Amino acid sequence: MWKWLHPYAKTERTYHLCQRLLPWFSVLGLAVILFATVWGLAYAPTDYQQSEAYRIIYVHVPTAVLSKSLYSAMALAAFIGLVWQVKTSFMAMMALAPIGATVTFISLITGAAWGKPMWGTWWEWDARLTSQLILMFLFLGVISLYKAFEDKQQAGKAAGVMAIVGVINLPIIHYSVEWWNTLHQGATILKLGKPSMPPEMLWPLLLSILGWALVSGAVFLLRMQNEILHREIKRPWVVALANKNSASSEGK
Amino acid sequence: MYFEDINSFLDMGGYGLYVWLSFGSAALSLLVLWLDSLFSKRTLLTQVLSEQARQARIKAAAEQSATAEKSATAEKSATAEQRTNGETI
Repeated sequence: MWKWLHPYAKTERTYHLCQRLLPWFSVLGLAVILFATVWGLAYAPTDYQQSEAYRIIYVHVPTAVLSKSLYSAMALAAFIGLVWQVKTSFMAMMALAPIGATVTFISLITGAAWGKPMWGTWWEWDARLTSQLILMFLFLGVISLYKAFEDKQQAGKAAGVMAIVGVINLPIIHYSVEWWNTLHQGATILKLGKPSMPPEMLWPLLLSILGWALVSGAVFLLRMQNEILHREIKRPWVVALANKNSASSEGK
Repeated sequence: MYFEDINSFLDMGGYGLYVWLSFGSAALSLLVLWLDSLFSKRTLLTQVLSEQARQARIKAAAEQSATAEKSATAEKSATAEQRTNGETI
């Protein structure tokens, strides 16, 4: 595996790999997200308890699920960067952090918009909501810590340690609905046994999770390229690439 | 289609505000993130080009000043020679 992975530690190859994958992730991701959202909003049956307000699930759950996955991915990248000193892994960490922050922000906003009609409040300092808010602060903390250092290798180490320490928040978010009394309902899909949802509601939900994952992947590829360009800005291949790029855009 | 007409779709059983607020803010946030990523890529690539142009200017200026200095010293020595020539005559 190391033999296979090794060339991707080289930034130029990684950049071109991102470039090749980018259109696939973008087009497929947008198509799936659009399809799943329209399905969820217009075609899925209504909920007998919450009527149409439950349709917020088709954006709230994908973003909430992804916020945790993106944090895990970021922490994993940080771990690889700290232990094996792979050059590109801190770049991956910093490419993931803003996506995670945005997705967590969306899950909080949609949660508030769902909480108002169902619980009668936009916000409550209960376990699930608060731990999710902390997750957003962790993402923002990693970004700010990285930006605070001039030396980017040092910055990657500091931010990486913070990302790894913050992993403690993930099980807290997941089990918060079981450990404490909370307004938030328990798990619907990610639990042992059968999911407590009919398939005509579940399918658009699973698809929208896939769509959000693909779109996050697309933004990650783009941001990964940016991180590489930023770090390698003086390299000859970057200069050649910029020249080629401007030549092709002038030709249009 | 689950809804009978477009109005009942927009109304969302009276929860229209909350449902559309959720989806609208999600779309907006995603758009902002995507545009930010796209524009920073463009900015970085133009930055590379302007740095390249700056280096070229620095090089050109250095060459120009080197040749100017050379010709200036040549001129100076020439006039000095003339002057000394004039004095001796």
